[in-house]
Amino acid sequence: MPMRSARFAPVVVALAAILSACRAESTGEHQPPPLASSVVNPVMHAFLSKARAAHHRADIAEKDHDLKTAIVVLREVTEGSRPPLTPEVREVLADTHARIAELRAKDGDFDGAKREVSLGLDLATEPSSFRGHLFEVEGVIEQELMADLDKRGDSTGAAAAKERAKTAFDQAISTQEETIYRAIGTAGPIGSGAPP
Amino acid sequence: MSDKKTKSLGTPQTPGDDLELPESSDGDLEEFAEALAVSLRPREIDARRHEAILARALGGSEADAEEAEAQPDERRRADILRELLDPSRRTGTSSADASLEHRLAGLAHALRMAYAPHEIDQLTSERLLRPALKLASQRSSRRYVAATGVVLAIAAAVLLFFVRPNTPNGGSQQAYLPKLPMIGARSTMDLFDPAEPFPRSGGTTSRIDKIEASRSAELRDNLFASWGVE
Repeated sequence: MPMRSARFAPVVVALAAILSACRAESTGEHQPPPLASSVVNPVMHAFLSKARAAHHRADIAEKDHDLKTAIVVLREVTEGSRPPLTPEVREVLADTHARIAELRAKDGDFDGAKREVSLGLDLATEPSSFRGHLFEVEGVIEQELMADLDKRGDSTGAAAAKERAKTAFDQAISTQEETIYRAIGTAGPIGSGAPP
Repeated sequence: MSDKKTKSLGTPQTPGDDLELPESSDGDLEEFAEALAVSLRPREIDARRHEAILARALGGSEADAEEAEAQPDERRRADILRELLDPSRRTGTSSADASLEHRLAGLAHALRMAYAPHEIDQLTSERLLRPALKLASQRSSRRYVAATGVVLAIAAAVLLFFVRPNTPNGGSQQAYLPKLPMIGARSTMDLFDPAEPFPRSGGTTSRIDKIEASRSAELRDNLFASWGVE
C-alpha cells in the first residue's frame, strides 16, 4: 500500500503544478512585476516611450507646418494617462508643456501658450534646466506678444509684454544659475556670491 | 609393588621396633631412591613414560587402550556437528531433531570466534546488529521511505497551490518585493550638462530620446533585480 502511494506522489505533484498554473492564469497574474513607483518601473517607462513617440510625431507635423496636429499629438502626453509624478515624469511633462507653448505661440495663441508655461512650471518646481527653459520660453512668448501688440499699435500692451519678458528671462537666468550651483557647486561669476 | 618382599634398609634396629621394610633388590632400591629424589625435586617427565603412567592409571596399558566402536546414532550426530561447523562439507545428513548439535555447534563456533576471530561479512553483521540496535528492517525502511514520499508530495502540492512564484510569469503581489537594490526614480538632470542650458527653441525630442533610453536600461536592471538576478 505505501509503495503504491509512493508511485502516485509524482502524479500529485504534477496535478498541483497544473492547478497552480491554472489558478495563476485565471486570476490574471501574468503581469509584469509591479515594481514600486519610487523606482524605475514599466509604467514609467511606458509613459516615457509614449512621450518620445509623440515628440517624433510632432516633429513630422511641424516640418509639414501642421502646428495644430503637432499640438494635438503632444497633448496626448500632457492630458493622457500618466504614471505617478516622479521627477522624470514631471520633467518630461514640463518639457512637453514648454514645446506646446512654443507651438501655440507660433500659431498666434499667446494666452494658451502662457497657460502651457504655467502648467509646466507647476510641474517643474525644483530649480533645473527644465524650469529654466520654461521661463525662457515664457520670455520668448512675451517677446513675440510684444512684437504682435506693437504691430497692432497697442504700445501699452507691448510695454507690459516687454516687462513680463524681461522678468521671465531674469527668472530663467537665476534658475539656470541655481541649477549649475546645485550641480557643480560653483557660485556663478566671481564676486556674485551665493545664488539667489 | 605390593607383592614384593620387605626387608630392613640396613639401618640399625632398635629393640622393640617391629617395622618391616619391603625386601628389595638393588634395582628396587635405586628405583625407590629415584622416586624419593623426584618427589623432592620434580623434573620434566618423558612423554612416552607419561602416557604409560596414564594408561596404567586408567586401567590398562597404552597398547590395549583402544576406543570402542562408535554407534550409528553417534556417527550420524557427528556428521551433523561436522556439517554445522563447516557448511562447505555439507552432505545433507542434518535433520530437524539436531537441536543438541545446533547448540553444540553454536558453542563451538563462539569458542572458535573468541579464540581466532575473523572478518565478518556485512550481511551477517547487519543480521546480528539489527535486533540488538532495534534497527528497522528493510521492509519497514521501504515503508518509511514511501510514507515520507507521500507526505512530501502532499506538502509540495499544497505549496504549489497556495504559494505563488515570484517570477514575472504568475508572480504574486507579495512576491514582487525586490530583493536586490533597485534604481530609483530621480531627476534626469544628470543626463544633461547643467552648465549648458537647453537651446531657446527646439531640442525637446532629443532630450526625451535621451531620457527614455536611460530609463529603459535602468528598467531592465530593475526587472532583473526584482527576479533576484544580479
